[in-house]
Amino acid sequence: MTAVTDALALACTAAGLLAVALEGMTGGRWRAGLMFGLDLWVAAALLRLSGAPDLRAVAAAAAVITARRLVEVRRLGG
Amino acid sequence: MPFSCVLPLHYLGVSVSAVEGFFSEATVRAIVDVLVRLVEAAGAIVIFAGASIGFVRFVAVAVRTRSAGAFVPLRLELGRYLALGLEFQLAGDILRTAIAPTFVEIGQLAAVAAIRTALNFFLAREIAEQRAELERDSSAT
Repeated sequence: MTAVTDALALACTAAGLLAVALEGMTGGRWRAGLMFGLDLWVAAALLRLSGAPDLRAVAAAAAVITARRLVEVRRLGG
Repeated sequence: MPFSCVLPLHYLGVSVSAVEGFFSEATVRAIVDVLVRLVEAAGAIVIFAGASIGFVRFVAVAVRTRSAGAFVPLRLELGRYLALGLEFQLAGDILRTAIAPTFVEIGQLAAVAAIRTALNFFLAREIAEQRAELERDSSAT
């Protein structure tokens, strides 16, 4: 199951990168693209936490969630 | 306490040793392991389905509209999928505590459960904030 969830997580990560690139290049709305990309990267981090995750997966999930929270706070603040 | 003291199994024609064998630690461990895999697979399916649907809708909205506010409903929906997937994963963690034999495994489980609970909290708060933002926007127009 880990191989499947890893492949799904990779797909989510790639989709996040595409979302950021699409929004940044077509409309210059980098922040909106980044917000949606971070949501997809959170999905990837959660998929990697499935099964019996190692400490690296836990640390990566915590880092993505913190980054997403910081961008969200900055967006609401300004 | 033996099952024969709790349940009148001999009236039902069931062998006491068969019932005790069914509820042995190894059997319970195997059953819980299967349940954990099922629940976690359900969580992974929900998360990936949400991400896929969200990405397809994101591309459609990005091509059609020029407003950054158009993405708020999409993020709200994706957040709901992530929260639901997280609930499944937390259910898997809770099930796993039934068969976690060592303190190291219990510690790892606690760390993962803490991260998932924190994320669930932040997601719920963000969903509420985004819903309020949507309502503000709709009442302003």
